[in-house]
Amino acid sequence: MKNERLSYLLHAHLDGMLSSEEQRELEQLLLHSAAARGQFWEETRIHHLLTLAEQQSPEILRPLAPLAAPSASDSLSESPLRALADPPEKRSGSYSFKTFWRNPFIAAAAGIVLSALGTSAVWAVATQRAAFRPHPLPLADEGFESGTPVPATGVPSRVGLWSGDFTRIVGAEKDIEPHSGKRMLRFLRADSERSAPGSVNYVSDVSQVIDLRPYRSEIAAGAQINLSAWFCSLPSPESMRFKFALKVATFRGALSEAPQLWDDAQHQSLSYSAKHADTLRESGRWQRVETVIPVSPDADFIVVVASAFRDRPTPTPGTVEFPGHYMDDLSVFLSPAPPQRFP
Amino acid sequence: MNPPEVHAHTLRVQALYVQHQNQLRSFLHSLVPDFATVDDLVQECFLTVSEKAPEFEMGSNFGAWVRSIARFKVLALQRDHARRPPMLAPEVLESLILSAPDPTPPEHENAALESLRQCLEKLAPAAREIVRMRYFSQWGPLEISRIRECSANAINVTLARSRDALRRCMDSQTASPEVTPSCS
Repeated sequence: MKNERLSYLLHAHLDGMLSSEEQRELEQLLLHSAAARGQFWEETRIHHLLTLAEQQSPEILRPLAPLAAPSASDSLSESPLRALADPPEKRSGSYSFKTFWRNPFIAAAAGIVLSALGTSAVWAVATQRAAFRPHPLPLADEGFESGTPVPATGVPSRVGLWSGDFTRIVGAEKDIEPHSGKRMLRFLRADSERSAPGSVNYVSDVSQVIDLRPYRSEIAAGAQINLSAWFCSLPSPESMRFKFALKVATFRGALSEAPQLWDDAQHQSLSYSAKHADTLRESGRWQRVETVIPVSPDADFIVVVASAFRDRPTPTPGTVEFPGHYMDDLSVFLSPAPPQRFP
Repeated sequence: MNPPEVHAHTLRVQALYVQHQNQLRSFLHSLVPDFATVDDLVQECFLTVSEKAPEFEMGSNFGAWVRSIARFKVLALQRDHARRPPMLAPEVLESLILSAPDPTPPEHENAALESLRQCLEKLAPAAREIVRMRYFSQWGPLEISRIRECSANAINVTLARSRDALRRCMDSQTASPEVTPSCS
């Protein structure tokens, strides 16, 4: 018979939300009861499958139509995302391909493996439609080399500039060298000039808007956007944990609406993607974070956001300050929808 | 084996790893529910698999072999206080690993994923979106609660109910898993 208390604790474990006391309670239950261990594997089976889906068939977890959309009838049939979310036949393979290769080491190693296997390799390279050559999208001052300060005014409402929370453009400092060039961005605080007094602020963002309308013909052929940036940090106190994130969303609408649309990105975006990374222990070591997002032919612009945030302790009212968190060399590429996978 | 044979054998073992890595990743996620840490563990397992490839006998149980490697990696991580995320105690991890069901062959996972897809479509849109944010965007309940402007507890409850509903749905494939999100 299912132990409801154990069930509650297991779900909290899976979501990283156990308190210290709850963790001890869960450990005692698991340690002293074979039935509890059986329940552990039974109840984590769906978690297992959902993580597997994220790896193997992310289309299962495809974005829903905007929830604010008319009807909200639980149907995707009228969604502007429909064509993107439920593409013909083998689009799902493209996501598998993306996910598979996202680990660079394994990608490299697997590349060796598969090339060695020759014709028995399962990864084919064929595209559904005429491809175009991947190319960067225009991003202003991607390496912060101009030294232009980033205004702390939230998401910008036009192309060609960074803005966000309180940050500073710096040169080498505290033994941290820029990833390239002479300057980099340092996250300072998790609020902006527009933050409400007393609000909970634990994420420091910098963002840019890119107009996609000049690329409609390429996007119509099936496209995705690859985003990457380099992050680096000083060691944090043991009691705190910080993370970095790279987020991107595509939208329909006027560029001037970007700040409002981003604020409700989960509902208003045509597509949305985010990738998080723990800060590294090694001071001064840069890590690359990347993410990819499919682009709907209807998309007018994208908002790209790079963030540092405090993950622990739990956010409380007030503003988090960052002791030494840096970002450099953000790049955005438009590329054809990736190759399909054939068995 | 002579060096060319070792090389060829290692390549075959690495190819097996590629086939099994998603199952391994999911296994690790149950024990260490932190996406970035699991990424690291999967890489470390690959390095060890490559190093120990000559010890693996083709035709034996690769899934069990790679899990035994993963077991050492998880326990080593548990001992690494500076690096580890919140984790269960080592003796608990040991007992769980020992009681883990046999790995599902990769080819059988496809049927389970198809069943999962059907059941996900029956979830209420808001619940499904929260599941998507958790597993696809890899956001934690705190981040999701911030975006959706509701309490983290409401997100926890929705995630728990959704997983329960999905499990029941997959078990029956007949019932409709109606989950009313605690946070819509």
